[in-house]
Amino acid sequence: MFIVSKNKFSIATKLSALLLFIVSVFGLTACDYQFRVDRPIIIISRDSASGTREAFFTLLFGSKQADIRLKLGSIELNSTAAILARVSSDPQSIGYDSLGFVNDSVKLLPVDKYLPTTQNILDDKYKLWRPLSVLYRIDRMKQRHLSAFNDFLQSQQAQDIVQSRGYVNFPSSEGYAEYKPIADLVGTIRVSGSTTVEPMMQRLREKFLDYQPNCKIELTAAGSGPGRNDIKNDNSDFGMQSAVVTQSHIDDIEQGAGVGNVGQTNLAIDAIAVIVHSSNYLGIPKSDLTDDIQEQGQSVTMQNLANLIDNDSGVSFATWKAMLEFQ
Amino acid sequence: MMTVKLKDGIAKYFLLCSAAFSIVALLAIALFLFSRGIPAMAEIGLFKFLFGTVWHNNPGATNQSYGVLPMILGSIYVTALATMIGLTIGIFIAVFIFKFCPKKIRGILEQLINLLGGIPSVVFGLFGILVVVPALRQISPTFVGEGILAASLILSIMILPTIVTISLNSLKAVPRNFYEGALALGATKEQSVFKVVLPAAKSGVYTAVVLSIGRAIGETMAVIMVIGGSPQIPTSWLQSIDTLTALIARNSGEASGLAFEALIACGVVLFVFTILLNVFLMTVKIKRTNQSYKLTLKRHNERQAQKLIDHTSFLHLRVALLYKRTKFFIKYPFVKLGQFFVWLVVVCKLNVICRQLSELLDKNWRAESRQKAWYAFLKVSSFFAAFLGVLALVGLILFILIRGTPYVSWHFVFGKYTLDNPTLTPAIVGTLILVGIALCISIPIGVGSAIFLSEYARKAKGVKYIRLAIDSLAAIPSIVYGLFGFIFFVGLFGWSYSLLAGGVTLAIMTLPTVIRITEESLLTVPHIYREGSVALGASKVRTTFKVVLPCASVGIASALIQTVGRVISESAVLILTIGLMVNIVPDGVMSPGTSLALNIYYFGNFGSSDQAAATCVVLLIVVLLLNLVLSFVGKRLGRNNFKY
Repeated sequence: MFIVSKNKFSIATKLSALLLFIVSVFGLTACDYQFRVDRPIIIISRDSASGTREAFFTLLFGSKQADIRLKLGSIELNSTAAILARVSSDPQSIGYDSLGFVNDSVKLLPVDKYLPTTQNILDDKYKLWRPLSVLYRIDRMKQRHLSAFNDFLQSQQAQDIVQSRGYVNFPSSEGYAEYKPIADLVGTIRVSGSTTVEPMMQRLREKFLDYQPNCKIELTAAGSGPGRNDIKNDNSDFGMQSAVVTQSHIDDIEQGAGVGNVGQTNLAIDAIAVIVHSSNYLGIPKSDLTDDIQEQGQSVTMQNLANLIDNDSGVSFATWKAMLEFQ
Repeated sequence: MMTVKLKDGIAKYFLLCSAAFSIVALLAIALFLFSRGIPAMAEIGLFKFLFGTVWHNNPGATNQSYGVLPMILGSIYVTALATMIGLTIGIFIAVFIFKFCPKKIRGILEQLINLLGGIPSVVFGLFGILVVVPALRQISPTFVGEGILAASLILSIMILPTIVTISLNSLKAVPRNFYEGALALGATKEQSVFKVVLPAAKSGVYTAVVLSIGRAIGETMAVIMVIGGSPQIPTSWLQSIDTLTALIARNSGEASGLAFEALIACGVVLFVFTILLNVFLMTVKIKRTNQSYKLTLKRHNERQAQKLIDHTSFLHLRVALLYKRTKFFIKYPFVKLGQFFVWLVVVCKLNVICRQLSELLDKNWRAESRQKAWYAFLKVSSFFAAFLGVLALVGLILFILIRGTPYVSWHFVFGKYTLDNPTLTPAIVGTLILVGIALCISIPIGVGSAIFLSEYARKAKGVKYIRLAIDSLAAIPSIVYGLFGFIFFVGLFGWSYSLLAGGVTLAIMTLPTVIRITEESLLTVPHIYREGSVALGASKVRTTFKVVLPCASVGIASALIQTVGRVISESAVLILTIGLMVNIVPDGVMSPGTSLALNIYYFGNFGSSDQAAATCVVLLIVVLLLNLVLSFVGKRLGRNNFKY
């Protein structure tokens, strides 16, 4: 029995399959949708290694922040850029990010009626802010190159860089001194920790190396938590922190570094921006943020944010409308 | 004579040692995992750990809880679905390239598939978050695009090259007279390919399944961006959930104390899961390869040919199919799942399509035409799968090129690094060092093991343990390697964050790939070469190195491509072992550093997505050049083979 190898159906089947595929692809891309208040809120959060998340939770929940479970079903992403990309593409989402990283692809949401302008942050009207700092072992500062770098971080030159990066200078009562280069300073300085502080630290590093060309700075970043661990285990000289350093953090580090041996240098103040999609009718883009912006009429409250995020709060906002009406 | 014997003995023991290295590596990883993971499980309570549904390990929390059931389920669902999709499309693509593809585009297609293998997972993640998730969100009833479906789609694209390359290699390894014999018996081209050649290449397909499950379950960086990350039990395809690897990667950096040990315990779960899977697959494979390789193939071929002649009536065919399907279910439910999926799709759709088309075109509705329609459908499926694969690939590459090309410049690639003008110089130096270390270790040991396995110990008893070790190493998720490297090399050996620690970890990780591919290509060397060489009086060692190995040089070259590609695109291991020092050119193997893939992760993390895309473009160009060079080398070596 011979079977004829030529077959009549292949072209017809091929075409129909192709057609089906093209229709489905176009069908998917055709229906783009916009923000609607009667649709669910999708929470976008950082992972628990993030200092930004820790700072945000501390501001919302105080000392019991570690016990808070993020609402089940929310999205956890492991980088600043991923949060921005996610929020800028999803009309229903709400997220939070360091103000220094936010760009105009998203809108900033007023919290308790205030937007994160410099003045509002310094006046503590916009309450979601945290200091950026570095931790170190005090006994290490006997080494000249390490203490020089620490002095540099507290100098006027360093604070100029902080301001140029879009952060708020850390208020200092006695003002900042000028950094004076030390001749023949050599040594390797290891800096690790928060990914939020890292870009600013790169700029500080370049400036410091202009003054002290014989020094070497190894800069790595994996998060505030790893930064603390590195100080504890002596894998690093300076641990960058993007959250408020609490006593329990200090106690943990002192287990490795020795009691009373942990020092801290504050670098700047950074606000945590609550961000939403650009089609959301609340909020404004970052470029419209000027110091003369007054109170906003419609905003979310700290309480609402806390209820939204806490899985065990007992309050469940099914839609945006529900959250905005719940005051 | 003595010296020849001595030489043979030395060579044999050297090869045995390199083969045993896999077992040593596996034992080291197991020892480190269990010694820290088991106490943690005991402290949490084994039942509470495995079947607890609440995961809460925030640092400093008083209500910490370690239940990994949601993550275990998440991992299983994602891996199963990704393997099903990837296997279905991958095998069809392999068949397409093998027989149906016009000769002109075959080379291009193979290059494209190789290129796909070199794209780092971070890029897939970025593609997922910017393209796949928003698309899925449009059809999602919950307005969430993340979850099982998104992760599986991304993963299935990622495992395509593995499946296609291995299936294609084993399809090519099937003797040509199988195909010709089937044609001579009167079968059509499609029938010969699907009923004779493909079943004969089964061993390759099993290998592909093992490796792709390993890749899918172990993938971290791409999954983490599209899975959502909420530790809840999956109830829907479109819902934020979590997998074991994503959980480990997300938390291992900062967790300390019991929280960190719990993550190692998660690593133990992954490890045990992959080992069990391998033991299971091995038992299945041993049953199949009990007789010598060729005899099995021959008998199989005869059986298939006989069946083809018998099954000229459609009824027979249906009965045979049904029987086959039930047999699948009874015998090896899990292994056959992917295959079953293929059959299911084919058989379910078949009736409808065949009937409609045939009634439309062929009023007489004879058995012959039904059978023809079926094979036509299979053929069309392979066209369609190739189309889908190429579409995904071209979409991905276009996406990268459009985003990245404007930012690629001489200064960007080779200039001095400053914050305003970040460059790739440190990453390129770092990548070269990593590739160098990994190749120096994994190629000699890997090729040695492959020679031992295929030339010296094909029928020896202990070999199955070595094979098990290799399969297990292949299936261990890269994040577990990362944890291992972090504790073993960075911590225990005191190398701290360094390129050496990363390179050695990568070498162990890529070892199974090298062994697999080299062995597959050694198996394709006709036995008559060895017999001829021995008959001419050459010793075993001379035969192996002067006759067999040169014939398999294409396979070794392909192992090299895959290893380099894997090293270049790996980021989950490196992020835990080499630090992330993007701004200084490393001054030696002990210096911390970065690689191109890590730079993509870094740039992507800090909002410089243009630089990230540009880095992707550079990486793609590197991979493309590498592929071109190696395929050129492969062709030359292949040509030389004919002279023997």
